[in-house]
Amino acid sequence: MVDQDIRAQYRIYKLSDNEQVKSFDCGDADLNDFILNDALLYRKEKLAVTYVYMNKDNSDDIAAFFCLANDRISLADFETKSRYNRFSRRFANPKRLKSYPAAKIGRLGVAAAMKGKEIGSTLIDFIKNFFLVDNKTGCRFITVDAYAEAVPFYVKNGFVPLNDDDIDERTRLLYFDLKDLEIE
Amino acid sequence: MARPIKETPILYGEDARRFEERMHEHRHISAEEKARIQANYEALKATANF
Repeated sequence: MVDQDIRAQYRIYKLSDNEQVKSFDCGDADLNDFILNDALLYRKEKLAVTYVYMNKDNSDDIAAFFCLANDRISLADFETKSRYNRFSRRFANPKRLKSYPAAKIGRLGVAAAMKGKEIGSTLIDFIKNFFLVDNKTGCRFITVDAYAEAVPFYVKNGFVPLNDDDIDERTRLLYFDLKDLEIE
Repeated sequence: MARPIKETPILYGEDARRFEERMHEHRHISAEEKARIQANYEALKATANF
């Protein structure tokens, strides 16, 4: 849990479709590029929503951000993708998929100056409970497109890799089952 | 342009079976962990603009 001083100083703020983050540095150029340039495009196209953890008195002081999008986890009744594709080509509307609703953490970054203060884990707790108690449509899983170096952080927070296909890629897909939040 | 957010892939074969198996396992969290998650949520939600 973040300490009292940070909690007193910062707030969660949902960015509107025309608000632009002007400065942010988490130490990763790609993640910085996302929040400074691309996040606005995702919001304008209604593809994702961005939230910042910002100073209550100074909106330029952003301790962290995350963006959320609708997602789903689908299971095919086939052994391989190629078998599924062959089947799909033969039938106009193949109903051989099982899908579960999910919300995706597209990106999450903590400012370099604020690392080591449990802000990332606190935001993850917030997101989990947000979809558990304030869910409007049904959501079973939280998925995340995590940078490879952040995978241990997500595993520590209860996430599991979706499969091993992206094990050597720059980002990996992991998921968290919101049913895990039920107390025994 | 930053790297685009990756699409969640469809799961096939063993991956799909493993996923469903895990879905039906019971891995409930402790009451302490649940309380921490709830407290973090409430503290942040109280300051949110939504």
